[in-house]
Amino acid sequence: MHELSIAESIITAVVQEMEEQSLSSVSVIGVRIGAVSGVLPDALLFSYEVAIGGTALSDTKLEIEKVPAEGKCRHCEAHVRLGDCSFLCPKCGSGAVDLRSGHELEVAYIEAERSCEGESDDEVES
Amino acid sequence: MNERIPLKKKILSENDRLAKEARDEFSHHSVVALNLVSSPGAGKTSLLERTLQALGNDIRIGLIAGDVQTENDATRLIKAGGGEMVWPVVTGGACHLDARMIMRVLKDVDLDRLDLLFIENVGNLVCPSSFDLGELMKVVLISTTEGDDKPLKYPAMFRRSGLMVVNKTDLLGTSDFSMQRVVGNARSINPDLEVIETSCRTGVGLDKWEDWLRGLLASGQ
Repeated sequence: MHELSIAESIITAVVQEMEEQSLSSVSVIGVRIGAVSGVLPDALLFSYEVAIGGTALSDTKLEIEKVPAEGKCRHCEAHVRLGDCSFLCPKCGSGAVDLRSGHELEVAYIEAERSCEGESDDEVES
Repeated sequence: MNERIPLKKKILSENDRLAKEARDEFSHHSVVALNLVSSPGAGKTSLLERTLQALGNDIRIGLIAGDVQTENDATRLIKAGGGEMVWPVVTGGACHLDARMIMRVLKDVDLDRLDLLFIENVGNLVCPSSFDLGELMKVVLISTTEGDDKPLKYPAMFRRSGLMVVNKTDLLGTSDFSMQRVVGNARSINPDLEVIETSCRTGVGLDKWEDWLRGLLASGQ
C-alpha cells in the first residue's frame, strides 16, 4: 500500500526537477523499479493515476522498467538472477546473495520541453 | 517538441536526505536509534513496556510511537514509565513512518537527554522496509502465533534487519510454529541475523534482550 507514497515522491522529485531545469509540458515519466524494492509496478501505476490528479503532472504517463535482482552468491559463487520477491539463490538455495541490482527506485528519465528563454539570457550575461 | 531527458534521480531521495539528517542528529548526540518493526499484534508495545520497566532507571530511553489511528500505544508507554519521553505519531492512515515524520517529532526531542531511542513503527512487514528513518538498525519482531514462514513471505524486512526477536515463546507448542524453522527461514534470507527469544508475558528471555541493548549502547557510544 505504500505505492501511493512512492507515487507522491515521484511527483515531488519531477516537479523539483522541472523547476531546476526549466522544463515544461512533461508528457512521460520513466521509472526503474527493482525486483526486491518492495514496490509492485501494478499498484504503483494505479496509485500514480490517483496521485497526479490536480498536480502539474495530471496529463503525464508513467512508464515502468522492472529491474531484475542480480548478484553473486557468497555460498556457491554463481552469478545469479533472483525470482520476484525472493532473496534465495536459485542454484543452491542460500540467502547470501550479494545483490548488484534489484533495489532500484529511481526516476530514470522524463520527456519534456525545455523552455530556454530565461536561461539563454543568463548565459549571455555570464 | 518534447525530448527525453535522463535523470537518474532516486525516488525516495527526499526521504533519504531527511533520514540522513536524523542519523546525523542521533550520532551527534550519541543516541542509539532503533526502528522496531513487526506485524500488528506481535508485541512491539509489550516489549517496550518491559524494556522501560527493566532498564528505565539505568538508561535514558525515549520512544516515538507510530500508529495508524489512536495514541493507545503511546499512552501505554507513558504509563509504563516512558513519561514525557514518549512522542506519539499518528499517521492518519499511512501504513508506515517516513523520515519527514521523524524529523518533525525530533523538533520536540532533546536528544541530549537520551541514550536510546526506540521508533515503534506501524504494524506492517511490507511498507516500512522501504523507508529509512535514520536508525542505527532495524529490529524485527515476530511472534509464535504467526506463521514460521513469515521471513520467506516478507523477505525485504528480514533482510534489512540486524536482529529478530521471537516473542510469545510461552505459547510455543500450542500451534504448529517451530522455532527451528523460523530461525532457519530468517537466516536463509539474512545469514548474519541475530536472534533472541522472549516472552513478554512471563519475562523469559528478556535478560538476553536487555544484555543485547546494553552491548549495543556500549559499542555505539
